[in-house]
Amino acid sequence: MNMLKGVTIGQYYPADSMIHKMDARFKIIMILLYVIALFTAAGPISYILMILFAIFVIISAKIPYRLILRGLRPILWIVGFTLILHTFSTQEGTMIWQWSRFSIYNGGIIRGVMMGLRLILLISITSLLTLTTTPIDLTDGLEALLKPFKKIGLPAHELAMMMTIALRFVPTLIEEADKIIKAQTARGADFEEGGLIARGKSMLPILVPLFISAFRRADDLAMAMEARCYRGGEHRTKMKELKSGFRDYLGLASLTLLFLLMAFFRFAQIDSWQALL
Amino acid sequence: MSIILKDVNLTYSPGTPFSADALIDVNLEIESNQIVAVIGHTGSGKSTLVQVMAGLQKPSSGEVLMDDFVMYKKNTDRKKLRRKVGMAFQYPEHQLFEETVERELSFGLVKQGRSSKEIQEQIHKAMHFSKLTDDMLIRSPFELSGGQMRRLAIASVIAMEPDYLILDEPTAGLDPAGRDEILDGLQAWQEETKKTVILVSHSMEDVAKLADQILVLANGRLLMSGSTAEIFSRSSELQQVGLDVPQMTALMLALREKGWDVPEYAMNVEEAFHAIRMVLRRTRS
Amino acid sequence: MTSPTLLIDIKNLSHVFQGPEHQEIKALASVNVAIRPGEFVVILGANGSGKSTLAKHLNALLLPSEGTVLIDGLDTIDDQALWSIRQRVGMVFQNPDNQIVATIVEDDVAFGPENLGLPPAVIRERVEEALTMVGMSEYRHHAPHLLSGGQKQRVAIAGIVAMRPKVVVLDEATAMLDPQGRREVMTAIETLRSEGMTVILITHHMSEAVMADRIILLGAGHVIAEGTPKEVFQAREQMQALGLDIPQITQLATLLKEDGWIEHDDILSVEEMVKRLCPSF
Repeated sequence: MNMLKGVTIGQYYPADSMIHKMDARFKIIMILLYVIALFTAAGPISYILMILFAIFVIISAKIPYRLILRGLRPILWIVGFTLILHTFSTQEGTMIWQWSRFSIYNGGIIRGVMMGLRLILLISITSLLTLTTTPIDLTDGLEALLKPFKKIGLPAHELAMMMTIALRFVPTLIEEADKIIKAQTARGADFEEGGLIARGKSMLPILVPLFISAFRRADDLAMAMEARCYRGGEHRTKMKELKSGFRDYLGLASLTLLFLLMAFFRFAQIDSWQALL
Repeated sequence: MSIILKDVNLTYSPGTPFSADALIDVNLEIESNQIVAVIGHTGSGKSTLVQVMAGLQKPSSGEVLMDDFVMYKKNTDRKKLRRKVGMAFQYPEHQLFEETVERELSFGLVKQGRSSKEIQEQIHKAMHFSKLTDDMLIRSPFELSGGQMRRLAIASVIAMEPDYLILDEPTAGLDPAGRDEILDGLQAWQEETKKTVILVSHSMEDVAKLADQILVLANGRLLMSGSTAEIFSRSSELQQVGLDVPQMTALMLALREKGWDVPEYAMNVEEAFHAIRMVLRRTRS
Repeated sequence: MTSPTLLIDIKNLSHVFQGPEHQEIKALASVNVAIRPGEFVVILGANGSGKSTLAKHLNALLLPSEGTVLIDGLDTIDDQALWSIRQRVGMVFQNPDNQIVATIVEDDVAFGPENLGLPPAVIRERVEEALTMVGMSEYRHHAPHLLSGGQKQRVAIAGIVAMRPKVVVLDEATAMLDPQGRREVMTAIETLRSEGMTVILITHHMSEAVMADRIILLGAGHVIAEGTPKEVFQAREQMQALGLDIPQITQLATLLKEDGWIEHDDILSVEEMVKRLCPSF
């Protein structure tokens, strides 16, 4: 619990890089586009291009490799599982190995690798977003992007405010939960004994006070916000304005280049998994 | 009967960039049947120390013994531990959760496996301590006033009849009347049961009024340990580590600087009054 | 229109609300309060005296059941004046955590000015100014949950100061702090006062009340007494009956006076007592 005190949610890693200085709105859009590209990549050349692009971004973001790798650690077993699943179940291409009911086709291996790579790139790029963008810039960026949807009733500002407040209070609530757990343990509460139902019930001494406290905080906070003249998103300004600039257009341009290359190779029929087999 | 800490060290998040030494080489002994106050500047390790004593925070190294019962061993009998020591955290009313006052008070008792007759007895005693009337037993704890909730929360720990009762700033956030109620109640309980009360406090006046023994923490180390009079007479050392002395003691020290023959320490207003009067009688006669 | 001479003008204020059993509870009864610019006023009372209820009338968080509350000439029941009132009367609350909205200190201090719709450059300036005033400039990029209680309250004060109010109200802002935190907040208040700010402190701590220009003593919703600290602390039995502390040094002074050793017992600090007892030095 004490380690969490030092780590801000979102794992922002301060550095003086081009990526850090980019406008959050552009970063969010670029991530979305990259992810779409990831799921429509046609073949090995596309993947290589995407991997190169990702490496290029990581280097320009001046983020140490170990941070990216650390973010990948939790999903490594999923990647491994996916690889094995596809290897043994897909029956495409030519068979290269067989033993009683089990068979491996080279198509299966390729699919497994492809899925694995997708996951790795997906996690790497999204953690890059949180590593290079402060929580407030992220929520500001999201709010700005969602603004046009206000016309159809989407409460963009309110959603962004909710996210900011949630990010602000998560460490505080974790600390409080820790204290409540200790206090109830001191009264003899045991969270480890009994079957499923007993364990569920044993969470009440923690959940009830935590919820009550959360509601009380919300009440206090609402009053404090009103006292500081908060009345929703209308006529509100921001100290930190998102300013797009040369960097952002450069980023968008490089992504566009990536797509053009991928499209070219696909339509030239050079790039496809079939070509490999 | 005593609590003994031997070479206790506690480091949070060791080996990471966030590592912090909370307790360093702490050796102490707390005898039974007294009120012990733990004082120290913010961040000195007071809360950590009492949590270690309460069996809730395992030290990184060192031994913690309670009446020859070794805490923090792999096969420590936790139920036995919970019968020996009870702890109320800061703002204990924030841990209330039951539907009725009665259930809140019996929560710990049920966990201890007591008979329903015993439980009723203990509830009765607890209601007496918290100055609540019996009709409140069926009410929700959240209908009570702030002060009542505080007393109820502390009572629910006292109901478990621990040999050692530990309280982290039991009067935090209370107004003078509320504070007096809690402290008077604790003093009465200790006098009646002859058990040990350990409390963390920031109010030197409260400590002077109640404590038999004082432990002074500074930067994670036990700086001093002794009787109330002994500790408060070392005012310059206390001030060096960011602590005040009770107002009456500060007065005594200031008068001594002017050459007055008064003791270095006065526990309360009456004592100070008598000391000053004695000097005045002599000089003005 | 010229500014009224009274910054806060409360006449005959009563506040009634419904209790848990639907009974009528009068939290405030016919309260009159007048605050002039530049004053440091302490509203003293035990829990249940109505002091927090009174505080919430100052920025129209609560509206009167009877009587009027005028803030800089603006009536709190006037809907149109609501936000002007809240900009003029800044309020710092008791719980240090439950006032901080943003994930970084400087962003939280900017919250108020942002709500006022000020241009970003102006907000930047004000945030810097405010953080410097409370001594928290170094912490501008810190996350709030890593700060101590006293530091959090100073950030809250900065957040109010950045809105350039006419009055800063601290509603038991030190109640949840340890002595060090309390000292930090009192220092911040002194800085505010040196800049000419009107400060209203609501508390039950004697050590804070002794610094006031004027004390308003509340009990059961009524104004029981009003005057300088020395004047108000004369009424000892009254104070104790209201559930309030008298500083130990003042209690001692009374004992010495009754025993005939000193003439006046209006002593509020150790230094004063020493001076009184050792006049020749």
